[in-house]
Amino acid sequence: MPALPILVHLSSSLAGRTMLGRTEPGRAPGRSAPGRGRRRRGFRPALLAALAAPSIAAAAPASAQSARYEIDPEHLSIGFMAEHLGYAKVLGLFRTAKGGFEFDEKTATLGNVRIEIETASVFTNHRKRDDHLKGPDFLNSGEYPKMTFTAASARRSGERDFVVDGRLELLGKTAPVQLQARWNKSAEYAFGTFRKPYVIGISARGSFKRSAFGMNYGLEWVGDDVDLIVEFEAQRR
Amino acid sequence: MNPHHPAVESVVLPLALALLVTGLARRSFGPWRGGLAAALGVGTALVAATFWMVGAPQTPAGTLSKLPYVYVAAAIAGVVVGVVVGARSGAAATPAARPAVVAWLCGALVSVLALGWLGGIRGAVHGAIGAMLLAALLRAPAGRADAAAALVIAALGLAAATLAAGSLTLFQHALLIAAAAGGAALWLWPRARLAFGPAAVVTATIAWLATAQAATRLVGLAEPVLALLAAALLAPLVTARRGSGGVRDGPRDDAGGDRRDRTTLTAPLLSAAIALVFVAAAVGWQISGPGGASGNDDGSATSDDAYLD
Repeated sequence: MPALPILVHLSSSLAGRTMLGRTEPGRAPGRSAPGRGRRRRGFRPALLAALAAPSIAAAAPASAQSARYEIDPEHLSIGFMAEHLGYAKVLGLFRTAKGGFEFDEKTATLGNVRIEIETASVFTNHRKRDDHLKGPDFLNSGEYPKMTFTAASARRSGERDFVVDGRLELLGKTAPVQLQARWNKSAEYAFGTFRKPYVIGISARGSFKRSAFGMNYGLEWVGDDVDLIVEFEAQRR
Repeated sequence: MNPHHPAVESVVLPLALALLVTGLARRSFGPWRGGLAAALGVGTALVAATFWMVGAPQTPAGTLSKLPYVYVAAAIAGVVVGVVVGARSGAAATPAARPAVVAWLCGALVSVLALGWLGGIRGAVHGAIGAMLLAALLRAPAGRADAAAALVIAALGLAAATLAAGSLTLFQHALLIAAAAGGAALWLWPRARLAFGPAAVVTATIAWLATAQAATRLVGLAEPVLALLAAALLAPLVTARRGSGGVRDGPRDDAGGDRRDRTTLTAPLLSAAIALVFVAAAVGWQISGPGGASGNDDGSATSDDAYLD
């Protein structure tokens, strides 16, 4: 859940600074051509510069605007792992979530990240355990049907890696959650008869302490640390 | 010993605290000081053990995070009743009619407000119904453990029902109430040494009502189950006629005193037995009913899996 916004953030940063879509590695997509243009214009007559200006101006808005990305529910996996009695970790999923973000590939800025996860969609491949997780001991889905991740910033930690600092609201409490996200790919989708959407693919990992949200039940047996595994694709609108 | 083991949090700690604080209060105030001793014991055990178990939620937004503060309100209500009733009834073992009304009014007010805070309009209605139960419990002889026995059994029943419904947190809360009431009640049984009077009854009953309300809200405890558990609290009405019971200030020098001692011993057992019948029915309903024990029979299947449709 939190990973989604992070991923978005990462993808935006990567897109802006490196190779999002058809952008050349290490070069911001919206800046390369105009930069060259200005240098060339310095050696040409003023009339030529005046003629060239409208085309530059027309091209700039497309890359400078933030694009809206919506997470594709068909390609979204929000997993978690928590230790059980020290023997092994239980792997679970949240099967229903939605969200989106705004991302400007040119400036690599991310905004309005919001991912909502339905807590009742928790799935661990064991019905009784799922019911227990939905109950008041853990997620309390009846009173808190959603948990929400929001993020407003991310910093780049590698060529394709980012650290996304966001906030997770769970059980009525909000606490900071950090995700390490990796921008896998960003390009026009390979399939589609009438429309080929522009898609970003993100992988994110992180963890948080459930006790930070007042989820204190059974801390002696069920691990306090919850690992997050987030994989998703988001389509540009 | 792990201090956060559920058995410590829900049984050992509240039982020991209730026993200790009640004993210390009795030593300080005397055996009949308005039943304040038992109220202090139950209230202290309830609040301290709960906060030890769940911490102190800074923003009590959800039902579970509100519950500790409802216990605090119940404990304060008990102390207020203990002081007011004690001041009016002096050293009487069985409170006079007027103090009992004062105790009921205070308890009913806190019950409606607390359950209304937990569950809105529906909670307030449950609080009003709970006030009727409180009226019945306040009729139990203060010098016997009839009311305490019914409260302990009803709390154990609530614990079993919430466990079957799938919440171990609520199970622990209910168990904690049983331990707190039971710890104070040990001062009345098998021999009465103080009163489990209106103050203690108000504290324990409000805590029980609040926990039951939380169970209906959070794990969907069925109304019939709740009704059967509530009926267990009416057991002292049956035993109330079996003598007044109580502590004797003077030496044991007559046959009446012996009968009173026997009643002090047997009436709480009868009260517990009657309550147990209703509790057994409630737990049976919870386990076998349509909204019964959580999950599938084998627990492993995911028959509601959308991918299987």
